[in-house]
Parts: sequence; C-alpha cells; structure tokens
Amino acid sequence: MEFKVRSYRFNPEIDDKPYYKEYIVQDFPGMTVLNALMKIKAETDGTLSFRRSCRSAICGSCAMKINGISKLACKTQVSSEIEKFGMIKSNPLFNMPVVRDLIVDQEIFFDKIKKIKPYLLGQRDNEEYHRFHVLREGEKIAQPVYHKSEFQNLTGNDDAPNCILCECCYSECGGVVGNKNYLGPAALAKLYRYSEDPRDNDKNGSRLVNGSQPEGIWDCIHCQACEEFCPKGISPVKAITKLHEKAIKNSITFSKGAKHIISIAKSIGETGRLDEVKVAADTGGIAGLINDLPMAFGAGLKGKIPPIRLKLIKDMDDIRLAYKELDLEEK
Amino acid sequence: MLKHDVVIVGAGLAGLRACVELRKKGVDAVILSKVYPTRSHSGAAQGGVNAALDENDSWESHFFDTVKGSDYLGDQDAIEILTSEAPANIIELQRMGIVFNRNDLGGIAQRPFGGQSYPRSCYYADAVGHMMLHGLFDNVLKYKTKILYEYFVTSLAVDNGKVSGVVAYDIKNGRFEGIAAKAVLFATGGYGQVYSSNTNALINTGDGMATSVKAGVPLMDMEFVQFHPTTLKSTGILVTEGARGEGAYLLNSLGIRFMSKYAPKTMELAPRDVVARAEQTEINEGRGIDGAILLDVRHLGKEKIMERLPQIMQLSIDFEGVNPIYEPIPIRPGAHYSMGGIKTDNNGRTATAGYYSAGESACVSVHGANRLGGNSLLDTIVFGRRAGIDIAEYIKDAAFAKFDESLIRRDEDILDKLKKSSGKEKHGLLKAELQEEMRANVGVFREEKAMEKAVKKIEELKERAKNIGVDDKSKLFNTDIVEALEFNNILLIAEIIAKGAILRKESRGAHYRNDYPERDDENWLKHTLATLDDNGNIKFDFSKVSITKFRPQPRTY
Amino acid sequence: MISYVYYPGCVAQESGKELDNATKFVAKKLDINLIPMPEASCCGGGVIDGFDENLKLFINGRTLALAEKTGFDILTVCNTCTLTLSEVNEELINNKGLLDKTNEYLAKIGLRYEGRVKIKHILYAIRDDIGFDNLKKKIANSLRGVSIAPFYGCHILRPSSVVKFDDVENPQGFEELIGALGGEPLSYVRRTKCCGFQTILINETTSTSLAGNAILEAQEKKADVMVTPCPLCHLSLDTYQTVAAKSINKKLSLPIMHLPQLIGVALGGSYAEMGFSRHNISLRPVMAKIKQNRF
Repeated sequence: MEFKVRSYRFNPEIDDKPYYKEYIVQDFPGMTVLNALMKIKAETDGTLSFRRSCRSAICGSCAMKINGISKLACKTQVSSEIEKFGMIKSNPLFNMPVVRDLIVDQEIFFDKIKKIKPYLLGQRDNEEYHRFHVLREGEKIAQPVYHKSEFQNLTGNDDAPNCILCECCYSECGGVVGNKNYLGPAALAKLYRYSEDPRDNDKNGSRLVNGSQPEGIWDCIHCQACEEFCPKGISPVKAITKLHEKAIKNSITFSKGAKHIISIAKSIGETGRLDEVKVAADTGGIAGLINDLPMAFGAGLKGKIPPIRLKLIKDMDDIRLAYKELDLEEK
Repeated sequence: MLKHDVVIVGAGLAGLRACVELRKKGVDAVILSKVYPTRSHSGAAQGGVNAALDENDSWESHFFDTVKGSDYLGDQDAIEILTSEAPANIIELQRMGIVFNRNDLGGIAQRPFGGQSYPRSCYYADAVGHMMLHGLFDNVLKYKTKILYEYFVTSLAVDNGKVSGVVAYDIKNGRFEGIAAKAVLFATGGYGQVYSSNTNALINTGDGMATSVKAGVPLMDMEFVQFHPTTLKSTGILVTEGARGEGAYLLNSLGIRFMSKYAPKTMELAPRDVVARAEQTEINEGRGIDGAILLDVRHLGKEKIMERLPQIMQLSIDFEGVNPIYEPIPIRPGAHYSMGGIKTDNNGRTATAGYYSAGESACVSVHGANRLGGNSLLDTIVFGRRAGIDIAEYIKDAAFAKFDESLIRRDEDILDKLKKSSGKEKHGLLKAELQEEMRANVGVFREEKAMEKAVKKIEELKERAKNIGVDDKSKLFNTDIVEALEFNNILLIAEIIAKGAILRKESRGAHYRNDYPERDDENWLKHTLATLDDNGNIKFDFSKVSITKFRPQPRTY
Repeated sequence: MISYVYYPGCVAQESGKELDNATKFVAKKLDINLIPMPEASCCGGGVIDGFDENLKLFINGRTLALAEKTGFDILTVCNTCTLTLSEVNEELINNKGLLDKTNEYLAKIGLRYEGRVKIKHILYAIRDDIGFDNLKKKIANSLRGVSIAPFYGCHILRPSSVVKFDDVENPQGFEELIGALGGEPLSYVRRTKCCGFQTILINETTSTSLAGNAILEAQEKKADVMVTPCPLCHLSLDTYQTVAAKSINKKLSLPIMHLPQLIGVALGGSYAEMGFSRHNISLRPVMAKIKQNRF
C-alpha cells in the first residue's frame, strides 16, 4: 500500500514561515510512523528533522502530534492511522516552542521537572545502611526492610515511576495551554511519586506546601487529556487528585483550590447539592466575590443568578451518614 | 572554549552514576550527551541487576558464575570487585531513591537469570533500566549539574599522553565547541547499530569507541558481540531474559523445548551465547517458524505476566501483534551488547592519563567472551561509581593539559566538506547495507570465508562513504549531518569487529567459529587489543587475562 | 416510550435551570419518560475525590443504587456528572473490595448496589436508544444553513477507558446529531478541548482564556452558534464569555446553546420555551436565522 505523509516543516534558518510537505511512502507489514519518517529521511529527504532513539516506547524521544494527537511515533502503527484518517499528518508537540520541523525546545518542560525537587528529601533509614560497605570473603550484606505495601503506589504498571518524560501529556495539557507557567502533568506526577516514597523524609510537608502554590497542583483543569494520551498508561490527573486529597488531609489548605474543594464537600454535606454561590464565595473570599460581581450581576439581570438558599435533597440523612462513616464531619 | 574540571560524555547509567559521585563531592563536572539524558539507552534495560543479597547466596558464587559465563576471558580481579561490591551498590542505589520490587520479608525481590546459580537479579517489574536511569538522573538534578545535551563529541583532545578535553558539535546550533578538561569520562554505550537485527537504540553507534581509537586509545576484545536470544522477530526489540527467569519456555516448530538438547541442566536459563546458538541451530536446521522460534509465557498466567512482565506484554502487542497471555511470542537472536570496548583498569582509567571510560563503552573486562544477563547494569553502577571516585582524586593534583585548538578547526573542516560534497551516496542506505552484511557474515556463527567477504564489503563501503552527500546544509539541528558522522563510526567499529573475529581462531563465549569450534586456551586465553596506525589501518596486539582464583575448566550448562 | 432515571445534576437545577427545562421539553417530544430521583445528591463536581476518595464512592454509589432500584438506566445532561457516575460505576463493578465497602454503607440506609446500571448522556442516548431516524421524523424547525460548532468538552470523551461513547481521537457522535437535525456541523480544532471551568474560581484569567480561544476559533470560522453537552462548559462559554473576551483581549460574541436546547429548537421549541432569555449572549440572531429557514 502507498500512503501519504503530510509533515509540518519549518526551519527558521531558511523558511519565512511553516509549511506542509507531502511524501508518498510504500508501507510494509507492521510499519510504524517512525519507520515511515525514517524511510523518508534515508531515501527521499534527508532534511526532514525529528528526534528518535530507542524505537521501543521507553526513551520518549519521538513524541509528536500524529493526526492531531500527541503520540510516540515509534509505537503508532501506520495502518491504524490510515484506517482512521486516510493519511499520516505529523506536527511538532504543542505547548513548547518549535526548534525545527518536528523538534521542539524541551527546556521549559525539564525546568518544571527540576522545580518539584525530584529526589528524596532526607532519609528515614537507619544510619547503618548509609555507608558503602564492600563485602569481605564469606560476608553478607544487611539491607533495610520495606514491605511491599509501603511501595504499593510506586510499583504498579500504571504508577507514576513508569513515566518516560516523553511530553505527550504536557503537549495535550489544557492547563498549560491556559497558563504557560503551570507545572503540568508530568512534573506533578513526579511530585506525587516522591510524596508517596516511604524512604522520603519530608518532615514539614514541604512538597505539598510548594505544590500548593499557584501554578501547582490546584491549577489542574481536570481535562483528563494527560491520562487519555499517556503512551505508558499513567494517569497524572489521578496522581494530582491524590495530591489534593493528601494536602487537605494534612491541613495544607491555604490555596484557593483547597478552599474550593472543601467548600464543595461542605455544601454537599449540608444540602446534598453543590451551592454555586457559597462555593464561589468560599473559594475566592470576599475579593473573589466582588471580582465576580459584574458577571454575577449580568447573569442576575437575565434571571440567571442561582437561588440563595438551596432546598435540601430528599433523604439528606443518608448523605450525612456517609460523612459520619468516613469521619469527615469535622473537616 | 568552555573549561570544566571534568567532562562526562554520555548520560546513561555509567555516566550518571559517575556524575553523582563527583557532584556529591562538589566537583566541577559537566555532562555532555548527544541526546537528553533520559533518552539514553540504559532506560531500555528490562530484566534485572545482579547482586548476591540473599543470605543463602554469596558474592563468591556470583564471582564464579561470572567467570564461567565469560568463558574465562573475564579478568578475575575485576570480576571480584564487580561481585563483592554489588550488594553495597544496590543498597546505595536504593538509598538514592531507586525502587525495586520487594520480597515477602521486606527485602529486595530477586529473580533467576541465565548462567546464575542463584536467583539474584533485582528488578522493577521488567523496567529496571528505566527505573535506574530516571532515579539517577533525578540525583544528578539534585546536585544541580550542568548538562550540555544534544552535543555530539567528534574528537578527544590528547596532549603528550594526557587528555585535555573534547571537541563537540552543538547539534542545536550547528557549531563546534572545544571543552577543556582535566579529566574526561566516556560512558558512551555500545554499537548495536552495526547489525541489522539488534535490540539497540538508533543512537547506539559506537561513537565513543570510534573516537577513542582514533585518538590512540586501544579497544579490547571487540570481536565479542552478544546476541540476545529473545528479540521480537519483526523489529529486534528486546524481550527480557527475565521472561525465562520467571519460567518461560523456548519452543521450536515442533512444540519441543529444544534447550534440553543444548543445556540439559539449565535449559532456558543457560547463558545467552549458548541459548542464541541453540536457537540459530534450530532455525538453520528447519525447526524454526518463518525465521524465528517461540517464547512461551502462557503457563505463567495472566496475573504474573501483568505483574512481572508488563512491558514485554505491551511491546509484544504493539510491535508484534501478539498478546503473550494467549499466544507464544515469535523471537530470534539479535545483536545486543558489546563485551569489548575501551580498555580500562579497575578504576576506569585508560592508557591515556585523565581519560576514563565506564559502562558498555569500556572493557574492564568483567564480561570476557560472554556477559551474563543482569551483569551489565551492575557493571555500569559499580565501575561508574569507581570511575567517579578515582576522577575526583585524580583531578586534585592534575593540571589542564594543552588543548590543541586546531582540532576544532579540523572537525569543522570535515563537516564543511561533508556539507559541500556533491556525492551521491546516501548514508542511510550505506548503513543498511553494512548492517545486513554484518548480520549475515559476522553473526552468531562465524567462519573465515564469510568474514573475509564482510571485510571486502566494508572496504567497498569505506570507498563509497567518501562520496556521501547530505541533503541538509542547515546549521540548525541538522540530524542528517549527525547521522552521517554516526555512520562513519559504525563503519570503523564494524571493521574492527570483523578483523578481530577473523584473527581469533577459536570459539569462546559469544565468538563461535564453525571452522574452529573448540576453545583454545593455549593460544587464545588472551585479550585482543586494536589500535590504528598513522594511515588508519587497524593493528592488533594482545594482553594477559587476570586469573586469580578459578583455573579455566570446560564450560557446560 | 423509553424510560430513564433522570439525573440533571446541580447546575441544571440552579443557575442552569433552562437546561433542565429544555431537556424535559425534548423528552416529551421524543416520548422519553424521565423518572425523577429527588433523593439523588451532587456527584461531587469532578473534584470531590480530591477531598476524600471514599466520599466520592459513597455518595455516587448511593445514586447508582437508587437508580438500580427503578430498573432503568441513568440519563445525564452534564459531562462531569456523566464521567463521575461512570468512574464510580466502573470502580464498583471491577473492584470487589470497593463494592463491598460501599455496600456496607448502603446497607445502613437500606440500599444495595449490584452494578447493573448504565449511565447515558442524552447525546448518545439519542444516537443509540432513540435513533437519528426517529429524531428526524419529529423535526419541526429546519436548521438548514445554520453553522453549528459542536463543543464536546472533556468528560464525555475522556478518559475513554471509562466513558466509551465515541472515538476519543476523532469523535463523530455530535456532528452526526447536528447533521440529523439538519444543521451544518462546523469543523474546528478546539471542539474536543477543555473549557477550563474547573479552575474558573481559582485562576479566572487562565481558565477563561481556554473558553475564549475556542469561541474565537469558531467565531472566526463563521459559526452561527456553539453547542455544548455540558452545563459547566456552558458557564465558561456563555456566562463568562465577557470575561473570556477580556482574558484573550478579543471581541467575542457567539451564542452558546445547551445541547437539549438545540434539539428542542429543531423539534419546534420557542425562544421562551428554551429559556434563552437566561443566557448572557443573545440567541436572537441565530434564532432569526433558524426562523428564516422554516419549512
């Protein structure tokens, strides 16, 4: 089968503006998009530029937009793309500046990884394990004990340590589209990974405190794109949600985001419903409410302002019991 | 010109491990890599890293297994270091944040691996290389290390037997940079791309080895190329030995576990050279299926496959269209690992003062004629760490040697000429021809005539390589140029492998000669050393093998 | 007649009352019986697991159990309710431990969940249960010549492991529905992107810029109206449109309909019946265009 590859091309050194170039490629069984691009590069056009390395979905080099979606070219079959889209359209990843053709500048992405302090803070182990000990003849090593359960959130197939930093999630993240400074899914998944590490010794909860700053865990817009498009099956958005839960359980609630969720939980606990007015007031404080007044007023004129006191749902006691069972009444 | 006390070239496990050691001590060390560190091929290692941790195991047993696995070509003083320091290195990695699966007692879980007499491979499902690479990289970030990524080293600068730095091509900006250093560590990995069917990343083009030998540093035992027994039929992508460690069977077209014929005691868990030859024999004698044999994990059950082998399950589905829970995986041997490399001592030092190597690019030698599965990751961390420590000591008294800046201009000229060439040869196509030739004639089974044919082909390709023209004349992120430079490196490495293999008239470990099927300790219990003369011709010399504890015995499994 | 347990969600009962009215209008026209569930609680707005994971399970497990008692599937009109109920449903069906834990709580309030309920958003309920052919038979107002921008939003598509209505990479259900109604679906990139609603109270500028850019794209492609299956998207797109315009520093004026309103209009609903006076951006221009095209 012959098929068409339509690739984004831009070399700022010689091109005034980006354009698309089309190539006709002959396929072979099991051909991947990376195979197709490499074939073009080796045989037809050596100037087509992209990154690649392992070709087995573990190094994360060849992430690019394929027919509009961020994917690893090496694990994307040509046949399934052709079936769905009729051709291969390749573009550079989004949310990062283009260097050339399908190559983006990743500096900003990795800077955010560095920001979350991706390493153990201090050590919980016993001192005896801290020195490097070369064994003499007949000697055995002593090792610290950590039970399986302590690592249970770090050893599953879909757990955060399996992240390959390919940037697919970052490219698809709506939060980053809205705010270039938002840390984004990969960095926050890594934050979660270290916050779950039983060896970590973050005594004052600095990870959660730093993570709760603006542009951190509370700026996730829950668009689910990171989970959907992760080529390794990881869900950064679930990791971020876990960080929310951890922050609130540890009373790190200074952020607007934490106040927002607490207010929603409170509202449901009191009425069974989400009280739009109260949640707005609780989240933004008085300033927030004033800020939103013109909007609320405009909506109000059209009769859209929600009722001030909500009717309780039927059998509200059921919900109260749920809170009681889970020991959430105080919060 | 940049100037740093230490330049580490390559950011896989060995480079990163050395870097942590140096940065921890506050040494001015920079990392230079042709890809971003996390793209390094160490991340593709799947199955395990060996260390005798269990109280019923012993490092001495690991020591012997490794010597025997090496077919007695490994240096025993080095192997003693490798195995006795292994447990401490694993515990240290764990302290640095690397996660290993746990056993029921709360220790590190371990699985059996080929040629090991005890289950001693520590793992993180089937992605332990990934876990270690990212864990070490996180530590490199912790110590705020300067990383020059997407820099391609073109020359090693040496002055009067002392290293003085490197010349590197800044891929992003298309300009050359000289980086002066008191010490240089090459942790540049292997050369899997010399072969057409290989498990390696496209970046594994033997750059460090080629650059070294061109700078006068000898390469050792280059004829020993490991063929991994289980690589996916269509793509050569690795399927971990851990699969067999967990109990997988190898079946021929008759559905028979053929290893009973070749290694009746250890069966599928014989060392890689033995299993790869067994498979190739089955295929050659007509008991293969479409050029492959089958790896069967079905009897392990869905739960165990998903828990222990999730990555290979996904790779089989994505790249071979086979779900191993329900069907056996078609596999064949593929080029995997270089036992040989830049000759170093037990601290990573080479013959050139201040110049070090560690990891797959180096040859200490701990793997001899055949590496055991799970020993390569161990090699990277043990000798990466030792090199880091030794470099920190070395630079205390060392001065910057004279950096000959004409080297930079020389490399610039080579590149300019390449850009201006109107040659019609395409490096991508020449590479494919070379790879196929090497697979066919310097592969699992070797013999004089075929290898001579390969050498001829290499000569031809060297001529044609003079007429390589590149399409891309741009300065900005020119991958066409980089691939052309890489091709020249694999071409040189291929020649050294082929000529070394012709020279070694015996069969030992991974080097099997149909025309010399026996091991010959009397004449060949020695290392091969390759250097280049002034005309670029390969010269061979030999050096002694260190034998401290174990006299060579017949090697059966 | 087909019956569903109707789960309007909070917004459709509060600031987005017009959505509830339009849904009931459409149900009546299409012979859909909506069984009310006054005991049902808020699903938690897609964020309650960030407060407590079990709370999300309990309150939604309760809703699912209430629905199961009636013997009918749940009909939703909100993306986020759809996802949240579907997520809990999947978790309870696939994880016996969680199901047992939830049932322990439910037993105390006289309920039990077996995992038999399906959650259907009205968009896909019409496609799968009513059928476009039946829908076409009841069209009273033609949408011919009206350029309609479908705004899917997130939670009706993603994660596709949980909400399995459409092809997440290239969904077509919305376009097909618009086509069945006689309208012209507009093709634009941001149809499957996020409206930003979840952080609208946390970071208004960045949040509304997402809605703003989606509106801008559709507006530049000459959409007459944008339609959304989610009242939270509607808040971002319509109620906050003036704010969004400021965030991206562009002039925006694109009317936004709830999906049931669009269907309602095609089935003969009037301006008043659809509650269009409650919208921020006027629906008059697009309604005028629809009138002109009347049979």
